[in-house]
Amino acid sequence: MSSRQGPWNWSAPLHRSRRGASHQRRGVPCQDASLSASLRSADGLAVGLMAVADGHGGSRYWLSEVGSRLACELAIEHAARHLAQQRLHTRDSGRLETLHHWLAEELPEQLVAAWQQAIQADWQGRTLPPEHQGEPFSSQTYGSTLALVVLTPQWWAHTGLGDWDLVLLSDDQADRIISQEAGEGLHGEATESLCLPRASRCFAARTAIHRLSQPCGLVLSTDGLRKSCATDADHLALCRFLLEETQPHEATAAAETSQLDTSLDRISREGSGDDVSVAIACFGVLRPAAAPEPPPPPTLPPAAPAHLSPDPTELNAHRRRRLPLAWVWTLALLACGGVAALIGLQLRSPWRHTPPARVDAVAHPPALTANQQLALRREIKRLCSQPKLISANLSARNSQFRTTGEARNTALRLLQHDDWLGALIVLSGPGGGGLAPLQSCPELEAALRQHWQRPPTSTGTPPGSHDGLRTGPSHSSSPGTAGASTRPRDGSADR
Amino acid sequence: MPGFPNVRLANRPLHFIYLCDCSGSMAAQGKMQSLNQAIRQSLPGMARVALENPEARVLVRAVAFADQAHWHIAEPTAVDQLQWRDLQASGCTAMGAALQLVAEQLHTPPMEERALPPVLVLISDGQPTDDFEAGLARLMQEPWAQKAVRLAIALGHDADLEVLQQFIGQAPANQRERSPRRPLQASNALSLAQYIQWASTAVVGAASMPTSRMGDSREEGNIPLPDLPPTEMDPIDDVGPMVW
Repeated sequence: MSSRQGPWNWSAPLHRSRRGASHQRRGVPCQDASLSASLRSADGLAVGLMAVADGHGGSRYWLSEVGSRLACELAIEHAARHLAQQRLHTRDSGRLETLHHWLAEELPEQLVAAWQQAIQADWQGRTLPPEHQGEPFSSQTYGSTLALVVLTPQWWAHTGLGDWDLVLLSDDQADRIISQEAGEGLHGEATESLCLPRASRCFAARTAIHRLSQPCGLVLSTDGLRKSCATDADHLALCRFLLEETQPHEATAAAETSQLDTSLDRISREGSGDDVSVAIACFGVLRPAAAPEPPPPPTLPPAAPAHLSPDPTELNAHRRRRLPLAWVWTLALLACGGVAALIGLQLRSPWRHTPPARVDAVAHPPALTANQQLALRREIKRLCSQPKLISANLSARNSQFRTTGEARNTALRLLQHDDWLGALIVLSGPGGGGLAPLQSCPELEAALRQHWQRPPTSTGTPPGSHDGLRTGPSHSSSPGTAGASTRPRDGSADR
Repeated sequence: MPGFPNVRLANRPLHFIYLCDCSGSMAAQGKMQSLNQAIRQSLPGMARVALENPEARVLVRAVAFADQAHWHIAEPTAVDQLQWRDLQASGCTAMGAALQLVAEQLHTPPMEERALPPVLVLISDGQPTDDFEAGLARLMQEPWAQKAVRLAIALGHDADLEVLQQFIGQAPANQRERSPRRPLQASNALSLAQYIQWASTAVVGAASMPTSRMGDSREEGNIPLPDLPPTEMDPIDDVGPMVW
């Protein structure tokens, strides 16, 4: 263990990958991989390397556990080969810039090319299972992220691509996530990947070199760790715990690793369920973390059953819609007269799908109550105030325009349901009495006339046929019951 | 050796939001009743999927839109605690207002940083009667809406497939391909129930899985979606079970 006074060295990096709780339950292998190594540079500087990779999972990426393993192996191999030949004992800015360029540009190109070769070789040497027989090679099958950290006593660096996180823990500054995927332009659970055609160009954004002067700790992890935590504060506290749990691990490596495995399993089980990989190293000795503050309350309150806590606004609106029973009966009786008149007109006229000469040609239906007239006028006012939307409003009711023969059955129900637009359509149609007494506007009248003049689109199956899931009694007598409807062959809406 | 810290490990919330057309035309031919019944019947299956995926915390909400849009179920409610209250049909089709309402809830906070991509299911039998474009633009300003799995179910052939497709996003290039990235056309109560069941179980199951994917795979949507229900119940012109 390093002294608290310095000079300090990195502890040997430690890495672990654990199969996630969800993957265990589904019998899916761990698609994460991790690896670490120690070496000496050409000038004798101790160098540590650690890598983690996260295979994408999912059926499309069915060999991603191979892809992630190869990614870690190749990253460590290529980095070790290069660094072992370099003189790294430097704080010179020019030299560090050269190293940065190597990490951001040269190494990624070599790595991606080597990874592509390796997965092709794996594919060619593989006996495909029956469900994948005949499948052509695709690098997507092996899709994986990759992160690499280089540790020297004078500087440390990171590079890679994808949704991994790197946490820097120190005594003199707040613990923080020092590298994470930006996520710009990425959707859902999407991430940068080695299988992207432009993969090597993704590394630059995640490449940085940091000079060292004080003790610090690094926890590199795949996304399963961070996504298991409720907040970033929880994530940082967890990283601090994992570092303290495993430092120094040299003395009792087996016991510490076992303890770390237990912790990682718990994190996955109680968290995201995803595979979890970590690689950990400590430079010098960190002071133990202070006792953690109690966590703040959750962002969302515990979900309450909707029926126990309805939105008051919604409740009021619902109440407003609900008419007293007596009123309903009164309206029903009054409307019956109108319906009877409609029936009479309808029976005398064999009219069907033939437009009326004018929508206001018939006398005002006597059955409309004052309240109903008021509501209908209000609806007309609403429509006429936005002429551009009249057509859209009416197009949504195309089925009503095709079912004038059902008007006698629908008028009462439309009024009872406060469906004023539906009622206006019925009134404007054959036998409806017209809209003139309701003070319509020319735009609405023209639009109604236009909709009534459209020929029926087709004939179809009688309502109610093949209606296996309906058990309620009312659908066949609902407003606007269609006697004719079929899907347009091109699948477009009937306008 | 330090003890396990006092940190909050949490499964990831999966917000599932219905956006239901409650315009007056939904009262016709029992569409509203069928929708209520389909959602209610889907809840046990949805609860089972949630139970099988403990890493995801499935939380359901619903927006109803007619003359205006309002939250029918305002609180994100665990599916096993959900009791569906019937929607009522009356009025116009304020679909744009519904999208705006949802957009207001797709901020972080109240959305959790580590939530799974939400699932938005838009169900409509008609055309928007308000400013749909503005509502959609407002919705798509929210990163969570961009990440969301957006599905649309068209009830009957009066539904405006173009606006539903705009809500879903870019359609697959292959026009003949059957795809959940096109509006699902429900022609009767049975096909509606199948699509609702599919969205609330297969899609929820897929959205619950902790898998990632490469960034350029836009053709598979925000998550790889499961296969659609069998085609037998699709409307087949003159010989199919067309009702709406």
